[in-house]
Amino acid sequence: MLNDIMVLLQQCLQVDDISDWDDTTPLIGAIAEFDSMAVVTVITQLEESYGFIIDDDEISADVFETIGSLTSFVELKC
Amino acid sequence: MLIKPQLFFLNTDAGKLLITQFIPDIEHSIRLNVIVVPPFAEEANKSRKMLADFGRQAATYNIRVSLIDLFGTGDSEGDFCAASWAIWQQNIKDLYQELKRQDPDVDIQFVGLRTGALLALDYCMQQSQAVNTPQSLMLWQPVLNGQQFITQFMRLRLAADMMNTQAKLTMADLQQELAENGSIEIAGYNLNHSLSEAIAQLNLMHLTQLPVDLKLAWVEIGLPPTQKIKPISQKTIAQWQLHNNVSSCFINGDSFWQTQEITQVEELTNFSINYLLGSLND
Repeated sequence: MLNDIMVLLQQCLQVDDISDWDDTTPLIGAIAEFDSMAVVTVITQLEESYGFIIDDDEISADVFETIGSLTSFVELKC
Repeated sequence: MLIKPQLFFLNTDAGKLLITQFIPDIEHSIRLNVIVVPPFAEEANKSRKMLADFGRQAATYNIRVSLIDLFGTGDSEGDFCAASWAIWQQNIKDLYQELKRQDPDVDIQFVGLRTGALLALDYCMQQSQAVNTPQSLMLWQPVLNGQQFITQFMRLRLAADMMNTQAKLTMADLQQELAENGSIEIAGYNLNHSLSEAIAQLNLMHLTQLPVDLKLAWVEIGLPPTQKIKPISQKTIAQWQLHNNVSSCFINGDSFWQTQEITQVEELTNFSINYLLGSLND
């Protein structure tokens, strides 16, 4: 799952090299490409890829703190 | 030979609209006019290069491509907060009639991207006179569900607030602000209530009776692991195929209307030119 999320993030953010990414890599405020448009793109891609609906109340900074927190969120939703 | 865009302002009752045209070298050799209906807000900015590349390439095949900046967008007159679905439909009609006036004998076809596909198709549905409608329409990554699209657009505001402030706004707060103030600012765009409602009411799945004889091509673009058109799109296409000639195609490439970096999908251009030229021979 972690790997799938990293690939999805890589595609959404169009980052070339993710070799130094792991579950502790911070997202918001750390990756320059991770702006509000990117957040929405990631949410939309997650919904389309995994077939669940993310309620807008679930969109919080905690979820997007690190790659690990985002992965845990997706695991809970699946 | 690199074809340069030619710009002109089309005078309409709604104000001047910027039209960017890619015109074949020898103007009398024009075989087809194509009106490109752009997507919404930031998606239009992200797509500008792709649409221009398409226009430039198509012109080398004697297709004249006209890109329209809708009222209140790009370099056309008007404020985005005063834009309406009806004005945008009229913008398309005004351009359509202008092209018909210039080249009465040349067919006009539409290419619509994202909400532009919705707008173009809804335009075809609304026109009572066939003289004002194209015979063929290409839908590039069409927005299926207007309500879902508006929700996703409003999420930009939620996401921005989430990143910048401690305040926890909800979608309900935004809906309320939109209803009470008549508009809401999202990602630099002042979205008005009636435009938001008009888009939210549209759903391609609910359109069962398309104009008779309208030919459509439905194109979706994506990267692996996605390899084919979305199931929900396939369902809509199958429904339409009962009465209309509808083809579909999946193209491997970046989602250029939303990617971080400005990108383009050459295969989409090639496929579309082939389709457009092929439709002339029918």
